[in-house]
Amino acid sequence: MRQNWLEWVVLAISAAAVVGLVGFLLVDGLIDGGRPPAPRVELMVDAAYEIPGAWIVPATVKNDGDRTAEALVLRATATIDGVEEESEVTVDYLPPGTDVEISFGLSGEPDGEVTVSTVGFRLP
Amino acid sequence: MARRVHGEAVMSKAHERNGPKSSVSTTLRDLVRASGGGLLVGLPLLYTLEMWAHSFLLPSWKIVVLVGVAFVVVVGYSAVSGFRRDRTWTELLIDSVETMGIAAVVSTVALLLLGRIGAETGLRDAVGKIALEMIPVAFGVSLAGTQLASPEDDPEDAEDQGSAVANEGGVGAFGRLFIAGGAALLFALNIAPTEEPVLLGVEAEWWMLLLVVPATLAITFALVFYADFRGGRAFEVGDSPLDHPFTETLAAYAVSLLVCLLLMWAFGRTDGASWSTIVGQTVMLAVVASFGAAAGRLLVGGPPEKQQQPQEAS
Repeated sequence: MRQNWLEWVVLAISAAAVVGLVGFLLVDGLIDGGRPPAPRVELMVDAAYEIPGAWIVPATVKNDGDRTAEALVLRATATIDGVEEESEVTVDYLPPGTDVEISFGLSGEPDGEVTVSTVGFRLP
Repeated sequence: MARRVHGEAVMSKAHERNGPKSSVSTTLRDLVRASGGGLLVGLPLLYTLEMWAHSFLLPSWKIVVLVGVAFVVVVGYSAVSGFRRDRTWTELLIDSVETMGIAAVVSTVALLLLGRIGAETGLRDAVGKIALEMIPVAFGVSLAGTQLASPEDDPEDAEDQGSAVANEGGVGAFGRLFIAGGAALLFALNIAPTEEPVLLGVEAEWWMLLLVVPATLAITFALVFYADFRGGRAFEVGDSPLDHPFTETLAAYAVSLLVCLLLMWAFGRTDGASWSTIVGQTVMLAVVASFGAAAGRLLVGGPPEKQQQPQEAS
């Protein structure tokens, strides 16, 4: 039936791919605790940079839950020259396990720490 | 390497003995054709935003169910379409696993090249995307193995392929309905993940839906039994109750509705939806599904004298 080495290679890869994909999804489905979305933001203050009129602070958002957050709104708060300032970013979808890169824009270099809070999200 | 060369020498001897089916270059050509057919059918959905999003919006078990349904369609299509009809069930199953596997590899490469999966993508997200996108690609791979193969590819089976099976007895009424269901799935899958069926269904007045149903039935009936497409059939009544043009049209429509319901459920469109919304979007999506069901029946259901023509010409 399989008449050459290439056919055997194709069969082996195919079987591995199908078993791997379906197996992974089955296991994932079984161990899925259904935990609600849990967004976690890692600010990269060291990688912040200045552009004309703004101070950009890059960040990575992760989701520690099992469910996807939709229309996630994140708010960064910082003090610049003694005045408190807020910056909001909306993430369309935050799937579990996937990193989404965002950037907050502020009017200048912040005096102290930048804090980030989750304003809200939708469950799809 | 030496072993491989030796292997090829043996293969080319086998090639002389058994025909072109056994050589590595033929297998390679089959693979390229399979990948091409897969992309031909799968590309629209590889470029569909909702497909990417549904990888993480759908629970894992729903994706497994969809892949399972696709596998059944692939097995059934190979069994019914009559290509290499001498195969045993084991061979059929192994070939179908191969179809799914090729589809998985093709969608992985395509998603990587399109930048839909990458190092920053979560594993579950990536696997979900590959599993969903491999469904339409697998249908394409499956078609590439039968409908899109040139007759010279396998001379002994040439009369069994081309546009359809060789004789009308090859595909019975139920086989035709199965193909109708598979083709309905293939067509409707292109629309089902998007927002449009929901909008159409919600915004349609009840009398519009009542008009859409007979319009769908009339058009699909005409496509298969009147419009004289290649593979179309004359108005003939067979032995089985499903062998009548009217009953077959109705049954194919019912199958299309079921396929649409399955898809709407799978893509979460029935969650929390009212009955009128579910009926509306199913009827609207079934227009597309029925066209697929008609096309599928055209593909397998033609009378023998009609399908022989293109092969004689080639």
